Amino acid sequence: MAKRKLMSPKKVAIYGIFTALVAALTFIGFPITATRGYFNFGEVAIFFIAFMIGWKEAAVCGAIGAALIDMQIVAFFVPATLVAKSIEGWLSGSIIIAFKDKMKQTKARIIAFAAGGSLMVATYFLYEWLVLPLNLFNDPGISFYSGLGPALAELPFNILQAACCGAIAVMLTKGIERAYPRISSLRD
Amino acid sequence: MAALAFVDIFVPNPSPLHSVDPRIKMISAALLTVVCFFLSDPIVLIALLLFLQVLTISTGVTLKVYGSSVWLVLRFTILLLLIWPIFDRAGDPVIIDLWLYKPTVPAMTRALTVALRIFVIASGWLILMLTTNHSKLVRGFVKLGCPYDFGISLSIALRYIPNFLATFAQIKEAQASRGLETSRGNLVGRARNMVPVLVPAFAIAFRAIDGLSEALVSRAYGAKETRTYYRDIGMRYWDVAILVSVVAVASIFMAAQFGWLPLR
Repeated sequence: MAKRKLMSPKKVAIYGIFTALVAALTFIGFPITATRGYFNFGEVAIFFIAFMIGWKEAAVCGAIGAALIDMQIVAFFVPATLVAKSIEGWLSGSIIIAFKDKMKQTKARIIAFAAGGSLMVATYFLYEWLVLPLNLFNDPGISFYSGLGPALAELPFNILQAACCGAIAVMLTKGIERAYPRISSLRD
Repeated sequence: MAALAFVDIFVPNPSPLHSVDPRIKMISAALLTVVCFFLSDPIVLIALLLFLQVLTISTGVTLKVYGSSVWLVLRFTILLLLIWPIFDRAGDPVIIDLWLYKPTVPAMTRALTVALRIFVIASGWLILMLTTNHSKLVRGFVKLGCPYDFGISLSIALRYIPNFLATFAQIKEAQASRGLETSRGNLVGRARNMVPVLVPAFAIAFRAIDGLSEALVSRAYGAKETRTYYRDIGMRYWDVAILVSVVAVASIFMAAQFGWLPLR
């Protein structure tokens, strides 16, 4: 088997720092009293990485960074977080690459965060609805709808979070591009 | 939110669980998560939960950390129990009939099962985080086959989370002294007010990337294919015994769940 080449030192630093950034941003935020959740800014970092660095970094850093925090606060959400944040990062990063020269950057970014964010919301919704109450094989009386309540209660907050974070990320990207032009050197 | 220290909830204490190989603890927590999705008997789940709570207390955790982590999970489970009857109104012995809100005995049993399942999974991972420090966690991942450059990234990430949290707090205070308000107004307004905090934080992150990659090069990262370690982890007979018993108990639970055991 051919040995995999080691990552370059810059890549190691990028993965490490951005994972920490996603985790730290996931941790700060304000609790929403209506549901278990709290409004967090983790998505800002994920969308930002997707816009500026690449889809691979967005997927990996987003999934691991958010899961690290979830593991200590709401461990039962870890599987959902891993899937949701990685497909979110992957999709929004890929859209940015696909639309790179075809339209204005800001427009592409809005499309990217809308698509990625809705995938994230859908994943959490399906997880809360179908997987959390999953009672595999034992009791046919428990139909699949039984987790719909908490899932529906949380849906609007998740949508709001994705939309807010996406909008912040678009503003932030503009600001950073102006404040720190060297950022383009981080793209592969 | 809970205190800042909650990001690193490791308890430096020489309890028996601390000395167990991190790989064993990670595999056990993952196995517990899988098994929990199959268990549906509230009695079994309660027994499992009590056992895990005893294990948690045996790690020597302080009452504050233990209480806050239990409360975080409890909040969610209480909400789940409260909302459940609105959507699940099937079953016969009705407890109380308030038109839309009709809790029945079978529905509440189902709600309780889900709540207990969530609680058990959370307790399992809590024990892993309480008894394993970051470097051991990363060593465990690398020993399980994760390439060591990913291991370095992971340990950088774990190291920098508290740093960034402190940075955010500092920038927030600096901007607040210039008139920024981050804790007033509605959700959207508060979110928008975070932008002046986030821009400098991201700039600091980029500076950290530059510094770290230079530091890695200057310490001969990638000069050699294989890596040696000063403090390595190794399996002992005791660890193997724990792994075997965990796998055995998990398979007994699964077998009982699928009816492969002649219990009745």
